Amino acid sequence: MTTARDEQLLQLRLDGQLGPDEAAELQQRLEDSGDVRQRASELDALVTLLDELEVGGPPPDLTREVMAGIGPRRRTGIRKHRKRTQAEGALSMKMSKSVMWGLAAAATVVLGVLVFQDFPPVDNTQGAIGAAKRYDGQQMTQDDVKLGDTSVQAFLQSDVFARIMKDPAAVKLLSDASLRAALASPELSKALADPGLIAALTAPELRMKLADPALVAALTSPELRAMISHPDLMAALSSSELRAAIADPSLAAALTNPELRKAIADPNLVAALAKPELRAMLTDPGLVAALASPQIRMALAHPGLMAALAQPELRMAITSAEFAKALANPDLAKALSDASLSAALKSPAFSQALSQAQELRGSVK
Amino acid sequence: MLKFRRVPTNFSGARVYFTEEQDDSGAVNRCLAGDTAAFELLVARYQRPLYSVASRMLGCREDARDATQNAFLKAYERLDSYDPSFRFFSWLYRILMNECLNVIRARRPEEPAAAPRAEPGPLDLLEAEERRRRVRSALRALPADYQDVLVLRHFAELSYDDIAATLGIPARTVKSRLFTARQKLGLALQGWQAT
Repeated sequence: MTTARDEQLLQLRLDGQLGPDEAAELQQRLEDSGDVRQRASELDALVTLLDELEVGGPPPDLTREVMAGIGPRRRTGIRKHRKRTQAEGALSMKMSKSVMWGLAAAATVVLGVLVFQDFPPVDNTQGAIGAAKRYDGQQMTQDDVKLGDTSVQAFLQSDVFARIMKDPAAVKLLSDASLRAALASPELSKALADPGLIAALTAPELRMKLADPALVAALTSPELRAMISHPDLMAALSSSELRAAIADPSLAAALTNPELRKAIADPNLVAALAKPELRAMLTDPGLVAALASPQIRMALAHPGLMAALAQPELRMAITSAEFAKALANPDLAKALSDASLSAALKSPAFSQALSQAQELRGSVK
Repeated sequence: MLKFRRVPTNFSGARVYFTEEQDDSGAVNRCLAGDTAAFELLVARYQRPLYSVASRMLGCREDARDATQNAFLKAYERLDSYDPSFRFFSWLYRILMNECLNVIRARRPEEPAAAPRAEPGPLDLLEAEERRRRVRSALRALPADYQDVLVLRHFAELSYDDIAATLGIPARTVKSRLFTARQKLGLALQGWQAT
């Protein structure tokens, strides 16, 4: 039989609160009494049961998420924020469910993946239950999602999707009428059914690039929205190469160049970016800068120039405005594929002449 | 000499939650003055105990994340209603518990506390999950006073004194409630031994 004193000592022991004398007293009781030992085992088992509920530490991005959430919730502006949110909600309800879901899905995948840094991996195991629970209030079902691809639906059912849709930045982007119209295009829906694109967009390499604040700022720029809504891009999305281009980290990094962003809707550039060999060269800042030139972008349609750009010397050469203008001549672009001309371009004499021309241009200015 | 296994305890270790209590007031005042970034200090300081409480009360990491996040956001929104004569953590804890209760109430009665893992597992995994569900259920069935002390002691890992300060009761009351709470919980869980 255990006493009240036994119980007290045993419980203090659980909490690490026994003094030396109390510890010795309890030890003696444990040796003397089977009931005390039994009670000690029961309490240990109880603590073990509670310990079994252990689930680890908080998510590493919890602080960031909270701080992102309080931005628009400034206490002084909270009422305005709520009114705005309600208004946006009312606007959304005017759309049919399927249209809204289609837009949300497309926007989430394209914008969410492109825009948000530190993008966590999708946890498919949280799928149906989490989504059903979170969107129960909107009375929507899986049937409202028309994209048809399981990876997209899995994304929609993920906690990531829920968090993005709560993000004020995403709401703001989605409120752009022209963007919404563009996202409704069948071409984009079809492109988003490409599991390869989804996989590429969620690849760790791209997420690492997206951790760059400058890039995030660039991706939220009007130029990028213009790119997404550009009809030529929509049409070009039927190309698997272009879908790969969108997810290419090199392109993402190159888009930090404002001039390139302005040019991104140029059909010539869109077509050129579909070529992996060009994207591989986008790490060259000189080439990225040169792509701002309309002449260069036009010349990129010629396979000769594309092949020649593999040479660093030529990439340096095209940074010259004169050279860029000269490329408007299709014969020059064609000639660039000639081995002897390529060799000439590598010669020190050509580099020297190019430098002199640039110096001369600078002095004239 | 008889040797019992060492029961895990946080009491002998360094506690971090209340060592910078003065800073809490300063951070709150800075937030109230418009310095949003000051709130980050409070989030960083208390996210661990709050998330720990939420995750073990709710049994689902995603729900715990949402509850913890919502608790911080609501705290921020209502910061001007915080009474600085009480510990900031006490106030946060109350908000979090309300969030957890909301989640639990929103669940259908037959719904398990945690979404079961999709991957197939041996029977002992299923039994362990059922055991955890029963522990959470028994814990929530305790009167609130007893539930609070158990949660703060075992999940937030607070000392008697810190629990007393959090709940605004004497330390000796914490001790007696904790003892009774364990007895009640033990009775409720008879037959459910951890393996």
